Amino acid sequence: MSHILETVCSPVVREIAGLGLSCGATALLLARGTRGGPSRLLLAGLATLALSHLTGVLALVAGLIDPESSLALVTLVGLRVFVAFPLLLFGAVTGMADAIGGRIVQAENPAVSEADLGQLRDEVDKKQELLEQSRHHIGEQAAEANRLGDKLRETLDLLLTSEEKFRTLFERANDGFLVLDLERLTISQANPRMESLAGYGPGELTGRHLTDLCDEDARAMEPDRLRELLTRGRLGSLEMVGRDGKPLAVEMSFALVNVGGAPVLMGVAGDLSETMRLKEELELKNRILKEGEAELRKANERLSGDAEKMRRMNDQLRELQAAKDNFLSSVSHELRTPLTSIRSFSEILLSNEDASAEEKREFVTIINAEAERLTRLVNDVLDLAKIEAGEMRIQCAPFDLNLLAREVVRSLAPMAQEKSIRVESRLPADLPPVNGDRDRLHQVLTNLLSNALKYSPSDTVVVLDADRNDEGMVEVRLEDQGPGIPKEELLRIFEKYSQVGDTLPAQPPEKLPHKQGGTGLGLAICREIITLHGGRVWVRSATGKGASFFFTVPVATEAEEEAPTRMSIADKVRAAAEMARRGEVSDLDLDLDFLVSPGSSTPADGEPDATPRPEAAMATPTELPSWPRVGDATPPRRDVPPIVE
Amino acid sequence: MQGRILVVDDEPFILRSLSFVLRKQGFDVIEARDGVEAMVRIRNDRPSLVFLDVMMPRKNGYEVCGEVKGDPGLADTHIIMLTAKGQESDRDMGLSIGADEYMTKPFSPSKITERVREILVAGV
Repeated sequence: MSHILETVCSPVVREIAGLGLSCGATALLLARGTRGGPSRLLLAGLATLALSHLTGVLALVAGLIDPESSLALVTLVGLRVFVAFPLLLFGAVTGMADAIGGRIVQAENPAVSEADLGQLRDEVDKKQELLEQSRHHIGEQAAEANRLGDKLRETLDLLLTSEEKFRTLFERANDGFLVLDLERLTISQANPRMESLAGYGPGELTGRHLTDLCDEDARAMEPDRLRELLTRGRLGSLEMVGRDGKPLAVEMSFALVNVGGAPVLMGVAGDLSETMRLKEELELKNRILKEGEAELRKANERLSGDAEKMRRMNDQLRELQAAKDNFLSSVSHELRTPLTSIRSFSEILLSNEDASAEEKREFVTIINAEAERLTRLVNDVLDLAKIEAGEMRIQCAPFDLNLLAREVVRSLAPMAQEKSIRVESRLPADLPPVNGDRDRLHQVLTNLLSNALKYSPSDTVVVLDADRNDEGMVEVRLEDQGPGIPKEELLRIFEKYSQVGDTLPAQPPEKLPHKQGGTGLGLAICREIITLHGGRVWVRSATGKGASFFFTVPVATEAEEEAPTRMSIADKVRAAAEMARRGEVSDLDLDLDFLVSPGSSTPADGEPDATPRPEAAMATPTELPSWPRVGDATPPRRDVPPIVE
Repeated sequence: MQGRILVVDDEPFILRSLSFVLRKQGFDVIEARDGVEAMVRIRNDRPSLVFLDVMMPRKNGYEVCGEVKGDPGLADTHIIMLTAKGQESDRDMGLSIGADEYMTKPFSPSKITERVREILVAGV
């Protein structure tokens, strides 16, 4: 070959051919161009290149070709090609440019200047750039051709093995497959998965009618209609059922397929159990999430509610603390005041023996009164302690409220007189006996009345009234014409520690006549007592319009009134004794007839004391204190005379 | 021994006991039942010493004390506060507004007369 080169080619071409050989070319094809004949050259080049493509040999193109032509050549070739461009200077070939290696091969004695060479290099660069683009393009085309080839090969492979592959797919598929006879809609083939989904053994589905796998709706359907549905691909809303008649968790799709020229129906059962399980799981999780959210929201609300509650409790505690401090200070004041009088006057008595009898008597009276005041205060405080400990008890027995009211009014008469307040008692005479703790109710009424007297201006009226209400209770009302109670205080006046003084409008406690102060416990104690009776206590008032206090106590039932006369006698005796103590003449009608009339009510136990006794009938008021013996069946709780005011 | 003493208290028995004890000692005792009345007596009768209760209607003891001590014309009036409250804070309050003495109820009449002698006779 090199020999051929030696003889045929100019040294330049020889050089180029050598390059081609060194690049692994197995043959050299030379094309010689002439000036102005690129088309011809191109055609010649194409033939050469086509040959080189088919045989895989290297083509050497030489000659005068323009860039456009050379590009076309390169584009068409695309395989291992050595392309060289002749370098032309002034119409003569002076060298070749190796467009792939980028080398320039010059003729041995080029009659060219350096400037010519520069121009040459530029040209080469340009051409190389063009070549580069072409190569890229060629590469893409080749890749595409390769892809097509692969596909073709696969298709070919598939054609060869599809039947086998289909068999494998059918047998092992995770989806159930059915092949149906289009005419009869019977199952001609079912894959194992389909069988197991529907709960049948191997081969058991073959030959069955499709409707064996359908719910009743499908069974009731016209065969043509069913076939139409199936050939359209879906069973619609029809559900597939298994051998046990239970719905299958599958989604069945159908397709009309040609097998060996005959149309068959192919059914594919997409297993929905996993989907359904996931769906259920998702739903469950969603529900849990929702519950959790609701829980969280509730917890949040609870928390903020708790925080609010805590804040309120804190405020209440603080208020309570303040009220207690105030209470302590107030109680201290209240206790010290009578104590001061007692101590002062006892010391005065001790160190003033020369005091007149009148003075001595006055001082002792003061000591006595102040000791009583102290007793009341201490009782209040003790009652409070009992309430706080939940240990306040009452002992109920029937008694006449009229008498109790009269006692209380009498005992407070001096206080009323001092301020010229008229106390009008309007209790009806036929008021039924009430069942209650007489001492405690005495305390309640005394407290309410003394409050009314304290707060009422001089020359006013306080009205005491009562009647039986619809609920089988006696409702007692005490109405004054005092300054009234401001709205904001109405709610708390029955609270422990709320200062009685606080309830007066626009007057700080410091400025109140402090005899009105008290411990602030009276109403709280009243409320406790009434509540223990099953009654209630309330107040109605407005600033400047006086105040009305109400309370209810239960009416005594007949059973409780077993010996009503006796009780009322006991009340009368008590009252008489009280009056006697005051040196007043009793105006009480002591009806003792029952003692001598055998048919009248007597204690149920019929103890001897209850039998008529002449000496008992002759009882005089002075002997009466021993009287309650008769009432032992329902004994009055205290000895007579019990009233110490 | 002479000297005019004003006793102010809204509790009649306390008023009575103080007056009795102090009169026994030969003092000229005048009485008032509340703060307003007390101020009138102080200005009109110029007592050398005032026994002043704290919790009173109309004008309390602190107010009376403050008014007296704030009036240069009444500067020589001695004031003994009497209180049944008996808390430290009350004592501090009384002394801070210029009371000369602060006594807690219940008091002993003999102690009272001792203090009065000291104040009025020794001019303490």
